[in-house]
Amino acid sequence: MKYYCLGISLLFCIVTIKAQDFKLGKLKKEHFNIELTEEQSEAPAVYLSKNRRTHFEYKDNLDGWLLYTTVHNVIKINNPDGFSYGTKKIRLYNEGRGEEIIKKVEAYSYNIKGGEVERLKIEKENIIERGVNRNLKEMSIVLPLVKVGTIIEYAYTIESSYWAIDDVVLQEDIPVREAFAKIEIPQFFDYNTFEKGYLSVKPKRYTEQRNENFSREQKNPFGGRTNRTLFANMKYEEAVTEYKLENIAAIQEEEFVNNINNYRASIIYELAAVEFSIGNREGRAKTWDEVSKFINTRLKDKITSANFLDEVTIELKEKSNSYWDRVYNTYAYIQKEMTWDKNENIYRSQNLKKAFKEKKGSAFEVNLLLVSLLKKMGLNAVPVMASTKGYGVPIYPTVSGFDYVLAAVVYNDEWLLLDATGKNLYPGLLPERIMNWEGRLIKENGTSQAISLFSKKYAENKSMMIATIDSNGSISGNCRQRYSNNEGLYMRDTFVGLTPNQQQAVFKDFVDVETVENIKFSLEDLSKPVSITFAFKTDKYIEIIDDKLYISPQLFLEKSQNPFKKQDRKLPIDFRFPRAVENSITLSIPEGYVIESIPGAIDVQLPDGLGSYKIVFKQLSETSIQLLSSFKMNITLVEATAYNDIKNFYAEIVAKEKEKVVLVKK
Amino acid sequence: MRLFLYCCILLQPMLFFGQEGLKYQSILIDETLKKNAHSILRNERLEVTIPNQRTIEFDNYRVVTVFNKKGNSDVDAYAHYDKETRIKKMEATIYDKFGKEIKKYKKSDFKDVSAVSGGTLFSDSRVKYLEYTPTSYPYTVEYHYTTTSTNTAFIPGWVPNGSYNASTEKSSYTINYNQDVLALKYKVINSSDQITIKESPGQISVSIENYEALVPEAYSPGFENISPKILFALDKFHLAGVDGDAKDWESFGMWINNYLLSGTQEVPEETKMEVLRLVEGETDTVEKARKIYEYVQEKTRYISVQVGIGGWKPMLASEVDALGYGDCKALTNYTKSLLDVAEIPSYYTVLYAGKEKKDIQPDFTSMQGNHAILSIPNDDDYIWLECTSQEIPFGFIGDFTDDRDVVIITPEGGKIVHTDVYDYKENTQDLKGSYTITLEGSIEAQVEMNSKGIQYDDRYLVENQIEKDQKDHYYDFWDYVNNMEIQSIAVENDKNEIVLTEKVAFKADNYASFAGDEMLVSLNAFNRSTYVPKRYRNRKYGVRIDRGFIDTDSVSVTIPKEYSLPESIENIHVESEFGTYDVEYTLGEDNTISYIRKYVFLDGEFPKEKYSDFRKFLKKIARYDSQKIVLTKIE
Repeated sequence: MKYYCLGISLLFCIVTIKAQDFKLGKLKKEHFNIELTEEQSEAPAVYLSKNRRTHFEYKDNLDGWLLYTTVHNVIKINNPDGFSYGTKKIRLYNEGRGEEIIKKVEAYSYNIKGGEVERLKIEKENIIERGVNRNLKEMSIVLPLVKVGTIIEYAYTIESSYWAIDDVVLQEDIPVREAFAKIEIPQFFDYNTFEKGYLSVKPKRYTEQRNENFSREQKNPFGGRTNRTLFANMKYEEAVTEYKLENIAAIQEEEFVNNINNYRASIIYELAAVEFSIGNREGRAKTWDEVSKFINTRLKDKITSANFLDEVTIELKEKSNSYWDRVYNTYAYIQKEMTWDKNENIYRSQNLKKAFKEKKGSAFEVNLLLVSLLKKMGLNAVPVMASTKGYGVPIYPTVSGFDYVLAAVVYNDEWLLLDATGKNLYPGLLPERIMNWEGRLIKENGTSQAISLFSKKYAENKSMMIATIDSNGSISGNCRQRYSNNEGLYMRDTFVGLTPNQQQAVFKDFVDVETVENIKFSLEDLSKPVSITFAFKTDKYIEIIDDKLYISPQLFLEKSQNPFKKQDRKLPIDFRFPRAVENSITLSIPEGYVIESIPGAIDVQLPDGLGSYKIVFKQLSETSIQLLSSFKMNITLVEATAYNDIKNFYAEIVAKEKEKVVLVKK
Repeated sequence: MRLFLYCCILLQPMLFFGQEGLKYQSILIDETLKKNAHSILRNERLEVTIPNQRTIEFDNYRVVTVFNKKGNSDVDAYAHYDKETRIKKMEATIYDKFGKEIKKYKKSDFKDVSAVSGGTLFSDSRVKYLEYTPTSYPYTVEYHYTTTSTNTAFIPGWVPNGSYNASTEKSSYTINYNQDVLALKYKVINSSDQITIKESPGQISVSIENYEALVPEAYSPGFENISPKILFALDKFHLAGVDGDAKDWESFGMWINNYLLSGTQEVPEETKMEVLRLVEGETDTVEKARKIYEYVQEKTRYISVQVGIGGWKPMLASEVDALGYGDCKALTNYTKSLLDVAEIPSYYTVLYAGKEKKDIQPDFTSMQGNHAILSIPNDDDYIWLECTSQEIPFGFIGDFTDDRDVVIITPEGGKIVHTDVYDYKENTQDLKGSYTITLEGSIEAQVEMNSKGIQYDDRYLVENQIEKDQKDHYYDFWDYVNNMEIQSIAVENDKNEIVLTEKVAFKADNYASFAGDEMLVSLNAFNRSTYVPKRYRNRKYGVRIDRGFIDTDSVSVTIPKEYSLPESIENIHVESEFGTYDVEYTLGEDNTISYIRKYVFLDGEFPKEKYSDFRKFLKKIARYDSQKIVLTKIE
């Protein structure tokens, strides 16, 4: 106890020396007058200073190394939208023997009153603790008297018996005037670090010698403490890294971004190895090979020991003739039998047998069962580690960067990706949540390779429409639409499982017309695109002005809005998957009218083959017009530098599709 | 007797599980109940026993069949508990569509979490709930729990259809109470012929069978106003260690005064002096109140903390004074304390907040409401103060608490009064603007909008947004204008007059479209009403418009000199019982055209037969609002 107090005071000492400008509890009038940039003064609030130190202490031979993270932040509130920064929430995790404890909290709010700085210290009872669930506690520091213009300051230390260093987050939702972080790692630990975001951070690195006295407690025969304490001395080196940045702009949400946190400037730490005595290295992740070895040893047993699948294997073998039969029947079996739990349980230990018995499990369990069964069927199948969009991107060798497993099987000399977690999926078709950069395919010998999780197939949406215009300005006709791959999946996820009544009601929101009838879905055969046919009647797409009819020729298929509204863009654009939209429309014109004008054809190409758009109008006869349009977006992720091209591309399409076919009375 | 009862409770579920298990075959359900239903409440049996003022026991047995994922939220297998409420028993069984048992849950298998969502920092209340991932549909959940509590202030109401798209095969609710010492009352809201009510000494029992699912409809009165519900309450209740009286609103108000509010309103001397200095020299009471209200707004912020007497007692005013934060109760009570210092009478007010108007039941006294505001008597009227916002003007409450019955807590007890109504004439938007069309069909536009009433409420928060969010707001507001480039934004918020003035300048490429040699332009670039609600084959509910408005637009449009205007454009006049719509075009000489529009949208209630007329009215306006004129190229 005494020892730990010393640790803390030592630590504050270091913090204060580094951040001389902001002494905890001692802010002055000049801090209110700190010059801010335009962005900083207009934001709801601004971090005047954001300070962090992470280091290790050897407590004693029972508790061993503990990780301490001290945070000291100073925030100025600029307007009521910034009041939320007046409450700081800290989550503390505990599971098994390990836990995170908050050690010392100090917080102040400062206001100018009568020309002087008025400081208020937070009372203990205003630090509120609540249990979120069995493993999670939440501390809320609610600062007093937070108004427009208030400066708030808080500092706390978290002691953790896990050696997981929190990400060093440099960029926030509000601007940061000054950020400083110091990470000190004793020689016994080896961490991988990776940088995210678009700020170039140049850390300062150096080595420090530490010389520590520490206590040793003798264990009693049951492993507990005795009251006999010995003292010892330890010399070791520490690798120190300092990050210092100024005037960091707030991160801004943009449309078509898969997960904003992938772009937030931060440094990620992952424990790669521990080596408490020379040569006794316990590796976890440093290179992809180490990662795969680590994962492979954990997976191998699970995959090969699945004897409970033997019975099914015999059944499936009997009914499968071709190679594809074996792949498909195995897939279909797991898909039918197993239900995905939506990753609610990724943090508990995974158990294939139990999952199989309960017919329900995590993606890890469902798809590992699939790998096991495929292997039992004599196929070359392996697991692929992946991470969902919500979880982030594993850009670096990592053990903990994954929250999902896929299966891969060799088919036509290529790896075919399988995911059995969705009832409407199909071999080779992945759900959007997992179409996130690359996965790591873990081969049986423990080596691994990257495999793209982006779709190579176009999500297609093809419509064929035949319609008749009458002289009162209404249009009626029939339409047949086909949706394939991820578009088809979307439609299936929307419509499968609804009653015919509900299907009709929901589909009416898909087409902007007054009357839709005779809607027929074909959703069942997952190997085929979704097909929907319907009849419609509408008077929305015609304007009668004097003796002319002005027709929007694509009717409800018109792209009437440019999805890109902003002037510029910082982050890559995520189109989610390649897309193709094709429309073929035939319009018959009413008697007594002749065609006065039809729009001209265009053919637009985005640079570098990113996408294309083509439309042609043909007069088939005196009384009918045909329109063929084709839109293609060839890739999934586009750099922000192409933003203007893409925005203009859409603008051109929207303008073209707005052009009217004009009919005039004879 | 007691022992016997206890045994019965123990045995009941077992009997049920044995006999009725196979009844839960989802495939045999009546088709009329399946219609429009994501789930069906197969059998619900709520039993409440109230032996005395300080004891209430619940026995809740419920069987729900779920047909698809949208019905999962209707399972409602959860129970709250806190210091005063204990869960005695809790179990559930899942059946597949054939009625075959799939899984059983014991009390310890239920998830146990803090019963607060993101907004609340702390609350004593916790909840245990069933976490089940369905492996196939339909499935059936049989659920049983019993609780005991000392809080008799809240006897849950009976709502047979918990939500839209949920039907009820059978639901019953029985309350046994000790009639020697307790008086139980009830009130039926949105009555239905299908409800049976049986009363006998010491017992009331209500039930319903085969009640079809309700379906949401646009512009309908809202779920609260169509779904049947029965409220129950005791005249004498108990809440977190305190006995209470709810015979009528007067005595209930006295109780709130005596047990919840009294003793909480003391503020430090220093603050008292500050308040007195603030109003010094001001003679007008309303102006004094305004100054104090703005002082509170400047000093405090809203934070939700639910502690103390069931989350009903406000935090001490002295604490709010020191800390500068509190929840709605605390901030309302604090504002009242400061007004007291300046000897301005004001009343703590309890009500239901939300866009959908919901009344405190005037003729049924019980614990009601979910929000607190303050009222200041002003001649025959009241000034209403929302104390949780730093930005809302003095005396303005907007659509969050307008036009509804509330209970004010006066020194003489509780009283039901009605909050301010924002009549359609008050909810105005006055727009003036101009734009020039280029040869390429782009426009350059300037516009100024003055909004009042509910239209002010919809938009005043734009003032303090950062530039990026303001831009996003206008991109959205004019979402039918493509390729918009906003050049300037100036927002002025006059909190005294309660007027918001927005001045925006923008450019937009390809605004007009082309057809051969003609250019087509929708003259209404700034204020289009585009929404047309769905058609219903059999409209079930009437039309209800809660808040009307008047919009006036005056826009001058300049067209390129290479094009000519049509010779004349016919003015538009639409009149109906839902409102009026007028557009007047005036062609100028120098290639300009003036577009003047007035749209009056009335509030009111109409029978369901009127829905199709109402829809036609909106459709006409949507059409006229996007109507184009044709400009012809000069040869």
